[in-house]
Amino acid sequence: MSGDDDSNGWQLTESDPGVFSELLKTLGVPLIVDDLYSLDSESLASLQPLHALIFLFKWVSTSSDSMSGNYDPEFPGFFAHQVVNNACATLAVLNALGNIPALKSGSQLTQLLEFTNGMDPQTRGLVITSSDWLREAHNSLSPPSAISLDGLGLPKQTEDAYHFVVYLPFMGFLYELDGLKPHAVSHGSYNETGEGWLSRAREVIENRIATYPPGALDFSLLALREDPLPLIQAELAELQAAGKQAEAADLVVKLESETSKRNRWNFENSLRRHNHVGLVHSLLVALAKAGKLESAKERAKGIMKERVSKAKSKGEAMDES
Amino acid sequence: MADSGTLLAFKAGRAFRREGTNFVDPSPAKGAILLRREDDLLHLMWKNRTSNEVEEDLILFPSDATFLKVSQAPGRVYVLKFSSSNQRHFFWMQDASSVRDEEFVNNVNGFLMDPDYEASWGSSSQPSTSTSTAGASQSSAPSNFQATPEQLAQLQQLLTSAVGSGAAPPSNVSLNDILTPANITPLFTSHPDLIPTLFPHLPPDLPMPPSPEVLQRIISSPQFRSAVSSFDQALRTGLLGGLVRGLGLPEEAGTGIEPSSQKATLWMEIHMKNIELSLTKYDVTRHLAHIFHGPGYLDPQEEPINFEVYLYDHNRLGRGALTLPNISIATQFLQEYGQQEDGLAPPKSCVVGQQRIRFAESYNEPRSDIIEKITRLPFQDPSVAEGEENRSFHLQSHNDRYFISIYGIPLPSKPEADLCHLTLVLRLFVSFADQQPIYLSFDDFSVLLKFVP
Repeated sequence: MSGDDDSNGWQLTESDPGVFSELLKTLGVPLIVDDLYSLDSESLASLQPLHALIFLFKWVSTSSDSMSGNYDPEFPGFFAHQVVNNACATLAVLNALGNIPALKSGSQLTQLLEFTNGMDPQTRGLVITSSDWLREAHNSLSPPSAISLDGLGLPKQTEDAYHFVVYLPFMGFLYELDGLKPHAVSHGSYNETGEGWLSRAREVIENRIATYPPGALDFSLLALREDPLPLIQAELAELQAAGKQAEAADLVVKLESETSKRNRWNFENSLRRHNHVGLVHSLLVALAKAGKLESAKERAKGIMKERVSKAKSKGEAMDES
Repeated sequence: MADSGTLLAFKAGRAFRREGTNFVDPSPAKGAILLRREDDLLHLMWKNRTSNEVEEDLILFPSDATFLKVSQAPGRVYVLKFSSSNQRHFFWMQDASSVRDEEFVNNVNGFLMDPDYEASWGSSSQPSTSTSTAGASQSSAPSNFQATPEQLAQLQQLLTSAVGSGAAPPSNVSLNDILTPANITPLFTSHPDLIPTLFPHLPPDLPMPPSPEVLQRIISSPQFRSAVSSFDQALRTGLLGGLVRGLGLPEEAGTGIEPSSQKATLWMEIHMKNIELSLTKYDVTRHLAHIFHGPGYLDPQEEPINFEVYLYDHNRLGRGALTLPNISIATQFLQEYGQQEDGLAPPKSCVVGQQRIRFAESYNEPRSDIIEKITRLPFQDPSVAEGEENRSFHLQSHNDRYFISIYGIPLPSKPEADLCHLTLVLRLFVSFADQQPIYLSFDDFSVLLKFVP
């Protein structure tokens, strides 16, 4: 799934909640993406209001992905095909955002969604992919790659080619939106009471995971949800004003953990955007000036030797270059 | 910026006058004109972009030369004319668009008149259409610039010097294994003064101020490690030497990322003065080889240190540049033989012929082609090189007919290497009618020469 020559300028991004959330911020959407570690009711409840689940897994072409649910060629919502592989993360986000009712978003996204109204999935996918501002927003968090290795025909290191599938409710049905499938997939209606669409989604996802031999599937779950930060801050202010210290204390803890998560995201994103050639260079110079570069080199040689002989004994082919 | 190496660069090919006519035939080779300031001298170089060799290196004195459009020739042909001689060098613009021709020519002439000229560039520096790599649009944030070839060359040079001088390809060492937290963390306690030199290179939009703790976090972060991996891959695939990207952009013209505090740490080039005028570069090299391959410098395990001596303008000025592959060697050498801070004579002297050569730090970036040569090739006995030069000169002036046959011989580069690289040696046998065969060897920079009878 590497297609680097038809990357059309879309760079590969990490599938990290911090990256997604930053993209949402750029799109002017007041939602965030969080890691979802468990599908149990408590975990899901703590993330409400929750708009979509994103299931991502390492694509292995030999994996059998037996189809559950039914194609719905008449799906009235937003569904776009994945036309450029590197754009898969952003495409999944759009497939989710395009189906959230009354979504607040920046003008560019609003216009894009309006413009693609009524288009077939393939055309939608093409429009999205040729959207310069969207591509820039997408690329802004991939490393500036001081040396671009794309399109140079280099032996590719095995890349993490993740595939993204969105699960969300639309007009009373649970839909699965997979940019590589021809149509949106309907998993039927769900009971509006209790957990609503989430319990149906849980079922579908757990069944899907069960079709793979245990441990064979490398997957992650993400939740697309309302940004809780402003809500927590507002509630906290209220409680403090009303003198309810005990509840306020609980919320303070929540606020702190949410804030430190955002700080971590900001830190990681600033590293992602940065061209590290200067730092790498000055680190090597610092090691040299401290007279430690030679010994570091010697150790590194030894490590490399070990690695090579281990790989050889495993019979793996080392890439020549 | 006034003291940096490359002043400007743009794509251009050469053209040559057809003997006895007024016609000039363009040579199709893809190249570039580079204007460089080395020491106090202005160089106009023509570099072949395919082989990356500098094939023409002209030293220009102020007001001696002008760069003019040839109006009688169709197309974008220019001539470098000298007032001091009849020399003419013809060039033709190779950038697809002629939009910037005038800008480049004006700046070239500016420098030709006055070496302290400050280049002026148009307000919109649009990248030329021929940069095809990494289609991602250049973002407006200055921190998103791509590393210049000079930076990458310096990086490669530092790394290959870490590997050891000589022909060892950098494939036996990975940058990832050198820049580990385990190697870097001790610096915080042993050399705390070095740490602030790293701060200017941290992301400008970090959510917290730079500090040793933040630096630690960054070095262990997956984002940094992944950046290191991608540099590592680029170094190993030899991308750095051959990359010529975005030629013609003002950013190319030697902008370093280093703030002034870093300037002094990047030299590997030593400036030489007071060289006796009758000497050749081989004389100087021979003498320096005694030093660099003698006690105190040569590690018996390692291969002899390779270095390059370049004398400006065939030593008409008694000045030159010594390029070394390694900061520690250069430091040591300067401590012993170089200009001292207090102005006193250095502890040791290097006398070649009748004069003592004076050595001092050069603030120029070493030429990337020289760096490549000394880090990839083993040290060559100057007498051998001298002999070859004399022989090849002799051949050029000889009118005999030659019998030429070409052999290709594959050889392992280093028998004991874990990873063997098959290298191809191309040899050209030239023999005179009744004389001994003379060998002209053509080597690719990544190849060790071996004699096969």
